[in-house]
Amino acid sequence: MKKRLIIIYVYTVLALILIGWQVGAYLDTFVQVNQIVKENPEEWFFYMNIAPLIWLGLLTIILYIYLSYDNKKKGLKKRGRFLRRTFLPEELVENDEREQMITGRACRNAYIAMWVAMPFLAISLAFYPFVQSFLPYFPIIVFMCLPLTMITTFHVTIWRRI
Amino acid sequence: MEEILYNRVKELRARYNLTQEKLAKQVGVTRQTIAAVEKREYVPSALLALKICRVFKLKMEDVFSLEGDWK
Repeated sequence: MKKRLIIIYVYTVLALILIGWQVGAYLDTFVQVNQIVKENPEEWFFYMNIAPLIWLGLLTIILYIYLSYDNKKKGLKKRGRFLRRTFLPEELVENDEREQMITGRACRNAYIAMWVAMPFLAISLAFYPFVQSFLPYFPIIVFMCLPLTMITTFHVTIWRRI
Repeated sequence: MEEILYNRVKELRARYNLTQEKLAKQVGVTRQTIAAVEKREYVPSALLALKICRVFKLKMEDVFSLEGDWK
């Protein structure tokens, strides 16, 4: 159970990093498109890095295969309709009332962590002008820190209670 | 302070020759939940407690107690 939790946590953190990277790539593309619109050249040319998206897809497939195998081995089955079974995050799958209680506690703690982290992250944005030259994606990093805080709190709570 | 619910699940399980896994299957929960109930780390719902009592064919007060003063 704990091994499964670690794997899901590592995947989630990697997914967050890749999403942050992809948002950075979108930003680069938007800057290029903006330049094109301003200058209106004869030939339009811009590029976008989609490597993070490909890595995310690969990681998701690997996790899906592992979890399908693990669920089969442990006799676990997601209940409910097709959409729920497909899109419900694995960390929210509960097999009995105790696991429901643990998920409830974990969500509560994640909510509290969000409100604690939010002001610090908002204040940290004030440093952007000072770090902009060597860390241009600083706002994206700060933005991604919020879900990271919540996800970490969620998983730590589950780890301590499971 | 958290309330403690004393129980005789471990003792009764041994008497009925049931493993945690078997009891868990009979009442529809995971083995970890039965272990948590036995260690008093988790207070089961009334529904789960009644299901456990039904397996042992005993009344609620014979399996669960607030004081743990069974004779």
